[in-house]
Amino acid sequence: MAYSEKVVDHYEHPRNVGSLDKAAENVGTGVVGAPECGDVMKLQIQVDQATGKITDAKFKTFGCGSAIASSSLATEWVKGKTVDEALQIKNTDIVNELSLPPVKIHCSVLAEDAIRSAIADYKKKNQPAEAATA
Amino acid sequence: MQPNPFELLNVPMKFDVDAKALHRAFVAQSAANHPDRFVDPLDQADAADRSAAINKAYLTLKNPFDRASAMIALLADTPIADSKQLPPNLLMEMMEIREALEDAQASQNQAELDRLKQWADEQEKEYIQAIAEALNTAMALPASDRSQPLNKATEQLNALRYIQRMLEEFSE
Repeated sequence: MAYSEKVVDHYEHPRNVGSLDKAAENVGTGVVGAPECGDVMKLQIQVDQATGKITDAKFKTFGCGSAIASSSLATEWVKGKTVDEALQIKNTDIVNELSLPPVKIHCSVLAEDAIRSAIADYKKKNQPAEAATA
Repeated sequence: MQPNPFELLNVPMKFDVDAKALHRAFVAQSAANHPDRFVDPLDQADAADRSAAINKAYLTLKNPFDRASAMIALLADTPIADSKQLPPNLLMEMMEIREALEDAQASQNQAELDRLKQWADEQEKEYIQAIAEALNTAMALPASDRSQPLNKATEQLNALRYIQRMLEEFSE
C-alpha cells in the first residue's frame, strides 16, 4: 500500500513536533493510544486565556506514518482556532485531507481523540470558578 | 466466529502451551490433511482449506499475544464490553518512556538503551504472566462468571501491545 503524497510530506517534514510545559495553566495535554497497534500520541495546545484562541500546538507520536501525519495535520489545523472551533475537527476531515485508506482510519480517530483530550485537559484547568463549585 | 485454533490442532485449550508439543500437533494435523493424500478433486479442495486453517491456527497459537486474544474470544460468554481498557496511567508512562528511548537513540547512549530494553523485556514477561494467570482463573470458572478475569486479561493484553511495539524499536 502506498501512502499519499500528503502523508509522506507530513511524515518527512512533520509540523510542530515537540512538547509544551504540561504543568502550565494555559497548556492542555492529551495523550491517547490505540491498543490495536500500540501507537501512542501526545498532542498539546497552548491557549490565549483571554480570547480562547489556540496560539501554539505540539505533538509527539510514536507510531506509523499515518499516525504521525494525522497528528501533524491536527496541530496545524488547531492553531489559530478557538478551543470550541477546534472541537469541530472530525477524523473524517483528516481522512479526506490525507487520503487515508480504510486500514489507517483509526490513525485519524486517534488524532481527533488527542485534540479532544488536550482541550478537555485545558478546560479542566481553566474552568470558571462557579462551574468548578457547581 | 473464528474457528477454534485449539480444536484445529487437536490440542487442549490452555495458555501455557509447550512449543514442541504444539509443533508436533501442527505437523500431525498438516500431514493428515495434506491435499496430496486425497484423489477426488473436491476432497483435495477441502483438504487445502483445512490445511490453510491449520497453518493459521498454528501461527495464532505460537504467538502468546494472538493465543491470548483467541482464548479471550473463546472463553467469553458475551464480547468484552470495553475491549480497549488499559491499566491506569499506562499511556502517560509509555509516552515518557518512548521519549526517553528516542533521546537515548539520538545520543547513542548505550547504557540507557540497555536499561530501557531490560525494562521492556521485564514488562513483557510480567504482562504475559498476568495474562496467563487471568486466563487460568477464567478457565476454572463457569462461563457466566468469567467476565472479571477476562477483563483483566484484556487490559493486560492491551498494555502488552504497547510494550511489544516499543521492543520492535530494538530489533530494527
